Amino acid sequence: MSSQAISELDLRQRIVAAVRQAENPITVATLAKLVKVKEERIRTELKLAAENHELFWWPKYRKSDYLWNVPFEEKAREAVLAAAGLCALSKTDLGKVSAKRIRGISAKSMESFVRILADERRLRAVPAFSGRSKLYVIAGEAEGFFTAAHHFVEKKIKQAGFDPEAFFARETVSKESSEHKGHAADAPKLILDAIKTLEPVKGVPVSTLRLRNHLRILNKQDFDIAALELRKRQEVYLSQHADPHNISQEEKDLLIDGQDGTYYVGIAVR
Amino acid sequence: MARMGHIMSVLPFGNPFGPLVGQPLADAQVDLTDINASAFAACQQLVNDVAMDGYSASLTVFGDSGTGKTHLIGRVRKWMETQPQNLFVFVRMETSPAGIWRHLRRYVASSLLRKSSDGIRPLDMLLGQRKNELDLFADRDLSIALEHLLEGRHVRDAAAWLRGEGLPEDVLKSLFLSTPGTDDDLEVISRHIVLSICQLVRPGVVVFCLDQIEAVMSSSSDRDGPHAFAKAVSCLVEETRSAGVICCEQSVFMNTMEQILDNAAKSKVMGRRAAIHPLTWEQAKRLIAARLDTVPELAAERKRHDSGWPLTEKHFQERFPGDAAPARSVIALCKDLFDEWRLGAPPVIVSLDEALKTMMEERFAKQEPADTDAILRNGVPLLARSAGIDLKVSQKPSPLDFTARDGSVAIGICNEVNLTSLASHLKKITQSWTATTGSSVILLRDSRLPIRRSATVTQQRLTDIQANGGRLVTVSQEALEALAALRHLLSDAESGDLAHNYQSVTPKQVEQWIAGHLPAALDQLVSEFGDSAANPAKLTHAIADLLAQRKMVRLEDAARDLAVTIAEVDEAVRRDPHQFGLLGGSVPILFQPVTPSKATPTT
Repeated sequence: MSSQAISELDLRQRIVAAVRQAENPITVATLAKLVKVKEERIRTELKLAAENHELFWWPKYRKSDYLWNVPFEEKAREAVLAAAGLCALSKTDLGKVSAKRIRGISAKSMESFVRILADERRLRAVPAFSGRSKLYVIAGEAEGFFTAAHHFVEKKIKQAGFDPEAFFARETVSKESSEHKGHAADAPKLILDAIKTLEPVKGVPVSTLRLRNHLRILNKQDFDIAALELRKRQEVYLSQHADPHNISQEEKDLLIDGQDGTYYVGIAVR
Repeated sequence: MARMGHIMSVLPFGNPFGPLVGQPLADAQVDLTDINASAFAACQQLVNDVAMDGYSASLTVFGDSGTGKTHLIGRVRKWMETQPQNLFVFVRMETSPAGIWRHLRRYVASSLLRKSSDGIRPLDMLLGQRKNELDLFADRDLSIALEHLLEGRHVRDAAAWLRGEGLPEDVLKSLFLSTPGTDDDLEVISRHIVLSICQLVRPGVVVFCLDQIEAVMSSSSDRDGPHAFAKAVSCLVEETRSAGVICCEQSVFMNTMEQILDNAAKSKVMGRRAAIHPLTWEQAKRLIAARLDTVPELAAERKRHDSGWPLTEKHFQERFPGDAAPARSVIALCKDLFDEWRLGAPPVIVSLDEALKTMMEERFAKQEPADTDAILRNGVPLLARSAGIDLKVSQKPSPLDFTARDGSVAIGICNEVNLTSLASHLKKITQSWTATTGSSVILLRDSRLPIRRSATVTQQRLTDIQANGGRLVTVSQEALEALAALRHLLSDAESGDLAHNYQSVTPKQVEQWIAGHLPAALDQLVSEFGDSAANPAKLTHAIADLLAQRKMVRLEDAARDLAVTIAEVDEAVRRDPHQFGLLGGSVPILFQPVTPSKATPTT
């Protein structure tokens, strides 16, 4: 191998290492400064490294070429999913919010990733709170939708000139006091509905942890009795913990108590 | 139960209900494709999506123990045989968090090199036509190793390199491969190799089927293992465009993963989900009939009876509370019932103790020096736990692998075949060790890897370490094989793959059994981890204190109470026969002898 070839190989390795260490996409000019080589010289090496998938070109931003060690498409998807996980939004808003997470990308371009993720069923469209529009949530995750619902109700109460805090406090009290009996009776149905909401693929188990978080209106006893009742009716499968003797009481409390020494970690619709 | 004595005496046919754990790489498994069809469809969808879209993705298949997750992987493998453009990689995740990429590299290499029934290696199918492109895609060493393998040159050594095994310097030179650098991190290199191979296989898909994921946990409360596993899967999904990762997990693992992963990691690792369910009674009947149909000697007689013959339905129907039972428990029961019919006597019920002994023996296998690193990294924590020693995995970039007894003992695995690499490792250990005062160092090395006298630098560094109180402990092949078998046994328990009397054997039960049945070779090894060798007087005092309180105690209990090994107590007691007495036999008893001067005179 000639000395020229060795130095080029060395340069490429330095370039790739510099890009991998970068916390954000970097411009070719910045990279040239980092590896202390003129911009023109590194362009050939960048081309080879990109062909070799050692680094990836990103879309131009303010007339500068950007590159990074992660493909732009992947980061874009990640940004959309992260935004949808925080709050359910319309396609346009999701495009806008997720675009803020990635430098140099328009909201319009991000909307195409919302479409792709919806086609892949990683995002799910749900009816919005008014009109015919749709909001996007991560498939199987309800938190983003609940946050959006909270914002919506809060806004409407404020518009009417009332204090939203009073409303939410009253809701909590009423849940704890008057609705308990009704919830206990409806518990099996509530559990089935919750599983269907949290897990769009039929038959896939939902952890008791997620279900309990989702169904805070049910106390542990009602929840456990209802789950066992559903199994008796052969409407669900319960996933049994293989070694309950080896876990703490705190961990056991999150599971379903089978009343015979068995504990269950998840529920799936049959 | 109906029985055909004449068949039994004339035809010694086998039992169609064994083995009880899925064998994904075996061709002869009975498979009813309509059972758990949706989970299989999800696996197919994943592979097709990765191939079509050019993005890697993962699928998590949940299921209770014994429901057929490993069996499903076998179905995926058979399907993959019809797709020579894709690579099937089956991985049992029996590894430590610090060695996941080395483990994956080993399995990827083995999958590339494993010949099919036609005698063709996937390597030739996938890369044979692309020899000229290797330079463009792979790094220098990888492309050279692949070239050797494709050209049929230095096959044994090139294959060993691809699997990540250390090679002596002269062999590396003859292969034109570079010598590992002093700062090279084997995990980072292995990750790079795995990702590069995924890149090379494009546009084909590398289908990783990761089984027994629970085995990556060092204990039931371990969070590092699941976290490292999720990080590795995220990396495969993020940094490649051709990986389809199928993760088979026990449902019990679901809560753990949901608690430790953030949203982004969850969406990468558990974004797609499928499930394996227990068998319904109707499915079980068909499966039993299909298994029985594989015994040709029974075919004629079976035509004259119902589909379950020679088994009787009523014997196992009661095992279906709520019309659902795990496949393995059904098959295990049928296996016993079939043996009862075949042999004319009910199967002998053995104790859990005996059953675990047999299971352990079944897991004994010959281990090569190339396996030693992984065996020690995965097995030493288990060994320490069984001896009641608190062991911690050292954090990178420490050259030492573990610390024990509150940091007073540091343990390093020094198994390099390449002596230059070993010398460099020893140098780092010396630097790191001298920085930590008050601790002793134990270096573990396979006894089959001697260090040449001519390796002067390595010898000198070893001498320096020993002069400062460090110890080089050579581990025998016997100890390594026992350790690998124990780890395998525990991994199977962690994954719900061990059963006794139709019940799962828990990891806790296995660990308790190991503590009381440590093979002699391992007992000797674990005694090296203690500080009693350096402080024999301390142990003697501790034994004397114990006997002052209890007068008589089982040797095993004394070792447990003093948090040392049986061998250590035994050695200390024998060293001082005037102070301690020891009664041999199957349960050795330690006692405080009464000296003649103090004995009550008899009249």
